[in-house]
Amino acid sequence: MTVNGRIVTSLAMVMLFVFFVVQAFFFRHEAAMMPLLVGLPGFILSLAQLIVEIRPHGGRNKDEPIISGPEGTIILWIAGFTLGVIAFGFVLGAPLLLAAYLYFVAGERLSISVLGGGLCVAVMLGLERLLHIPLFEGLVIHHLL
Amino acid sequence: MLETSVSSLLGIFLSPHMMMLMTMGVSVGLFFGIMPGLGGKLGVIFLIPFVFGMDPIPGAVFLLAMHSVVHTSGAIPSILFGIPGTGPDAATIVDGYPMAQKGEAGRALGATLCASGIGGVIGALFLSLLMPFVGPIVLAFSPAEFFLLAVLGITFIAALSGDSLLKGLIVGLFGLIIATVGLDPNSGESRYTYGQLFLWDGIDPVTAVIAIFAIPEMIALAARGNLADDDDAGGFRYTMRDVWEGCLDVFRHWGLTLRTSIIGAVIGLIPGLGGDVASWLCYGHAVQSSKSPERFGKGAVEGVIAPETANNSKEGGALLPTLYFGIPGSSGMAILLGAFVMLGIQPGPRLATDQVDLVWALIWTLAIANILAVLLLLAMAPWLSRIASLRTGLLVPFIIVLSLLGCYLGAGAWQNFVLVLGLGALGWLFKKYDWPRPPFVIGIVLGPIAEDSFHKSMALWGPGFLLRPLSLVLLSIIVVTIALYIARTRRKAVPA
Repeated sequence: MTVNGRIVTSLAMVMLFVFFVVQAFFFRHEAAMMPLLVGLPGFILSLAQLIVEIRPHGGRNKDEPIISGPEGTIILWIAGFTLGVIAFGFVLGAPLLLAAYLYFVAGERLSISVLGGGLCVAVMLGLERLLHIPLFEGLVIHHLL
Repeated sequence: MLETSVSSLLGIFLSPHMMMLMTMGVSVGLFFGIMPGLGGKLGVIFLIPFVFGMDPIPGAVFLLAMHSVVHTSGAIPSILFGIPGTGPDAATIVDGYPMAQKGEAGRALGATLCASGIGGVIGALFLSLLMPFVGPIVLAFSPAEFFLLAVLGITFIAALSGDSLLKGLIVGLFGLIIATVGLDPNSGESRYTYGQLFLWDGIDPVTAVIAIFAIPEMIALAARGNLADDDDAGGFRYTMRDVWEGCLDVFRHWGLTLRTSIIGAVIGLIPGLGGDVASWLCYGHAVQSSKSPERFGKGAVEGVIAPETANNSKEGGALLPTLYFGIPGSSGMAILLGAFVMLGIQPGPRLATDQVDLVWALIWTLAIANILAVLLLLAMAPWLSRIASLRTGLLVPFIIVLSLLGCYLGAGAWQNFVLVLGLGALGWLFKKYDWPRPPFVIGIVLGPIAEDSFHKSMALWGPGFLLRPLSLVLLSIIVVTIALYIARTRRKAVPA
C-alpha cells in the first residue's frame, strides 16, 4: 500500500488533538483548563502542518510505502514480543521469543539461539530471585495458576 | 558547601558498592557508545530495570556514569570505520578517519580518549563552579516563572532539535497534553482514564519515552543490519606507542583542549543545543584558530581533539538546567531525567536546598566516570578494532525485552505494553518523517510542573502573572527564539 506518510503523520496529530480537546469540554472548568490551554494551540498548529504537507512540494510529497520490508519484519516481531510477554510473561514468553528471533530473523545457529534464550531466563530469574524485582507472569500463566 | 562536596566524594570513593556500580555503568556506557545506533538514550532505557528499587543516589550515579561516557567510545567507530557511534561523534570522522587511513589510527584513538576524559572532567569542574550561584537564582523563581520556563524549554528544543519549529511545537504540546492524563491535581477529577486504574497516576514517563525513542531506534537498528563487513574488522593496525603519542598530543594542544572544553560546557547549559552543535562548533573553532587550517579534513589531530573535548564537557553544563529547572539540556538528558524521576528524584529548586549531597554526588560521578572510561579504553586499546565483528542482530531482541521490562517496572502495570505499541507507532512515524522527538520528552516531564505552576500563578496573580518582571524577560526570550528561528529559515530559503 502506498500512501503519503507525511500527510498521515500530520493527520494523526490533528486527530489526536481533536480527541483530547473534545474530551476536555466534558471536564469541569478547573480540570479542563490545562488540556484546553495545550490542546487548542496544538490542534491549530497541527492543522497548519497538515496544510503545509498537503500543498505541493516539488516531488517531496510523493506517495511511498510507509513500511519497507525489513521494517515490517521487526515491527511484527516487536508486536509479537509484546503480545508474547502479555500472554506468557517475562520468564517464559520473553526467552522463547528471543530464541525464536535469533534463529529465524538474525539467522543465528540453533545453539546460539538457545543460549540467548537461556541467558534471558537467567537475567529474568536473577532479577526476580536475587534483586526481588516482581516480574509480570503473563495473563495466560496467571489464569492457569 | 565544601564539606558536602568532600563528603560526597568520600561517599563514592570509600564505598565499594558505589565504585562497583560506577564501573558497571561506565562499562555499559562504553559498549552502548561503541555500537553505532545504540547511544546513551537506549543505554539509559537498557539500565532502567536494573535500577528499579535502588536508592536515589546509587541509582542516579549508575545511570549518569553510563550516560556520561557514551561519547568517549562513540568516537572509536568514527575513527576506525568512518561510522559515527552517535550523532555528535560525526565531527570526529572529518579528521579521525583520514588519520586512520594514513596509518595514524592509534594516535587518533589516543587523542580521542584523552580529550574526552579531560573534557568530561572540565565539564564537571564547570558545573561545580556554577553551583554557588545557581541556588539563589533558582530560589528567586516563583510559580509564574516555572510555568514560563516550561514553555521556554519546549520552544528552545522545538526550535533547535529539528528542521521545523512547527513540528517541534506540536510534538512538545503533545507531550504536555499526554501529561494531563490521570487525576487532575487540583479537582481530583479523572481525565482521559476511561475507568482504567493504571491511568489514574498518569501515563508513566518512562513508558512514553521508551515508546517514542527506543522502539523507533530498534526498528532502524534492525533494518540497517551489521556495523561493518567482517572484512573491515581490524583493517587499521596500531601499537600502544601510537596511542600514547595521541594522548600526548592533547597536552601539546592544551590551549585548544581547555577552550573547547569550556565552549562545550557552556553549550550544554543551553537546552536543546546538544552534542551536535557542541562538537561542530568546537571543530570550527579549531579550524579558525589554527595557523595551518589547510591540514583540517586531511588528518589533523586538533580536528579530533576539539569535538571530543566538547562532546564530553557538554554533559556537565547540560546537567545544570536538567536538575535545577527540570529542563533537559539534551534529548539524552531528557531520558535520564525521566529515569531520575522514577528513582524518586524530583528536579527543581528543592535540589539546591534539600539534596545538595545528591548534586555533588552527580558532579563527582561525571569526573570519576570520565577518568575510569579513559583508563578502561586505554587498557582495551589493542583490541578495539575487533568491534566491527559484533552482530547487531544479537542485540536487538535483548533490547526489546529489556525495554518492555523497563515499561513494566516503571508503573507496575501490564497495560503499559499496549501503550508502548500505540505510542511506539507514533514515535516511528516521527522518526521516519523528520518530526523532532526531544520536545515530547520535555513536554511529558515538565507537564505536571507546568500545570501545577500555572494553577498556582492564576490563584496568586490571575492572568497578570504574565506581566511580572521576570515573566516578561522569559516571554521576551521565547519571542526572540521564535523570531530568530523565522529569520534563520528565511535566510536559508533565499537562494545565494
